[in-house]
Amino acid sequence: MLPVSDLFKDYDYMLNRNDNRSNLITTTLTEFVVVMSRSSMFSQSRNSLSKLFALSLVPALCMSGKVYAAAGDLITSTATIDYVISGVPSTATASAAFNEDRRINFMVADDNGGAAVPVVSDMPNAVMQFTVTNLGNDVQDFLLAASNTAPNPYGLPADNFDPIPASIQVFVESGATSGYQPAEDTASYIDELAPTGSRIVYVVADMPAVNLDDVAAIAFIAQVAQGGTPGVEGAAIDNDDNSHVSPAGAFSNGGTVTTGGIPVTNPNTLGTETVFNDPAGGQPEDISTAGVTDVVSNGQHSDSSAFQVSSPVLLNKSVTVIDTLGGNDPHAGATLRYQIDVTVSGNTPVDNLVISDVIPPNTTYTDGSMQLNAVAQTDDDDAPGTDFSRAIDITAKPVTSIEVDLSQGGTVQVSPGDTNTIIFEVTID
Amino acid sequence: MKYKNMRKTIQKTMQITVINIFALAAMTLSLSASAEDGAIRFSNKAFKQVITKAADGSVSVDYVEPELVLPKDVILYEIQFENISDQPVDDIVINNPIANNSAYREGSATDDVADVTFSVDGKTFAPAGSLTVKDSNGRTWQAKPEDYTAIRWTYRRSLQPGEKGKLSYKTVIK
Repeated sequence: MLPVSDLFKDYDYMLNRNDNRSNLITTTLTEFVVVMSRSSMFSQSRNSLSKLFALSLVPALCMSGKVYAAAGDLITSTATIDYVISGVPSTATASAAFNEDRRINFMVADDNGGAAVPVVSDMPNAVMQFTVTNLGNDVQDFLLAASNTAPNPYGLPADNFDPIPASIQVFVESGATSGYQPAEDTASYIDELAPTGSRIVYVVADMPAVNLDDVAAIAFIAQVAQGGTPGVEGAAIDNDDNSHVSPAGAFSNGGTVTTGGIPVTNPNTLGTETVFNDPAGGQPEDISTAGVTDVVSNGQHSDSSAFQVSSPVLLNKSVTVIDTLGGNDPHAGATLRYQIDVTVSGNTPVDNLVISDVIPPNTTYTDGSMQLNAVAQTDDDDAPGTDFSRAIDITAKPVTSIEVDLSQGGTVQVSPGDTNTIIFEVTID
Repeated sequence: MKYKNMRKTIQKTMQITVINIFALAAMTLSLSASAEDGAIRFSNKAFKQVITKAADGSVSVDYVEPELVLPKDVILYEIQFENISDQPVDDIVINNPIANNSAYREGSATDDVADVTFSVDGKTFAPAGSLTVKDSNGRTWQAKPEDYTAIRWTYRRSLQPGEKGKLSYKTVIK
């Protein structure tokens, strides 16, 4: 006798992966072996047992416990009855079978830390991030689109500008390097997303000239599409077999197309049907590509996020205490050395950048202590003579503030990546 | 006998209130097979459980043909046997491995006419609650309903000529 459990293991797996005829036949033979082993005391011939099994349309498959739950799987339950009549043992089987259908369910969620994405006026290629998670039971492609929306999903201030028209693009994270990499992250659709898998998607847009704190809200929409062919953008699934339709259509980066599906009801016990099970949009203002609210079971899911203009200049100020005994005790007469590190975020140079700082109360500015990038600066308002720094007002003390003009009178841009370090000293009164 | 005491403690009668059968003829042809060569007419049918909540808050449970079946759906299996011979039939034992992609639903196996036992390996059968499984660290735990791989019913009496019996249980689709 063959090791029964091993046989089941192998054929169970094969049949779940491939519902083809040869496997069906093979597995039927397997079951035959199993029943013979279990009821070997029975007097029936192999032929009569075979005849009984011919009545069972699909063989039993569940002994190993190894399951591969997925859309399209044939789910078969086979019951066996053993009994004794007039002292003669006998047996019979009966099966019930149906297909597990394709559940389409997926989730789009904004992935920007729960706050608007900071951008800078005139900034090209501002990036916001979303995740798409497949919660269904089949491999799917997802078509992607992003568009302007309103209001601000994070509350106030209200949405008051749009990215430059036609600049909104969508790219899928390739997985090679985390974060948006223009050279790597070039796919405009999600290819072959397995059940429970998720993928990061970037919405990239150019900002117009806008003011500090201005907000541009963006809706991001994923549309379920046919999976199964790696490297090929699947067709949008625009209806299911349960009377639901999707406002699907052909997608491209930034494009919105409004061709909808036609309602179909197509129940079938032994076929694999598709059922839209996706939730409504993550925010009330989210829109589908048809320009309507993202409702449940429409083959689309959406969420929104926003760009908000913030200052591109980052200041980091620190202080060092130098006391008169060479220690760091801040007693009267001790020196406080302030350091201000100036950097620019984003990818746009900043014009007319002037840094000023007020001398703290109960301290006195140390004349001639100002430095810019380790170069001593004069206290005099002598720009554009010696340098572009001054102590205000060194000629009529006390000095109340210092000022360093990094733009050198408006002639120099400060670029992202540039570092400027300003140092000045005061003494404690 | 110890076994009979156990049976009493696990005894529950499951009432199947509403059975809606759509396309009965097609289903009989395509879904279930019944063996009639021997003394027993034997059948096994699957239904999807559909729970509908009406506007007035009342809940109705229907069992329909398993056309659209998705993960988390509950399936009712109904097994029937009928003595079509002119002799009494004894020692009736019905075995039903839990289907692939499916998990047994706790407390759903009927035990009004037969003693019901379960297995986690397809070989050893015991009443619910007395089965154990081992985890990857070798520790032993009480088996959960989703660990069961098979159900076995032992019919308590002889089945007289013309007499019918019915068993049922439920699974949840993975």
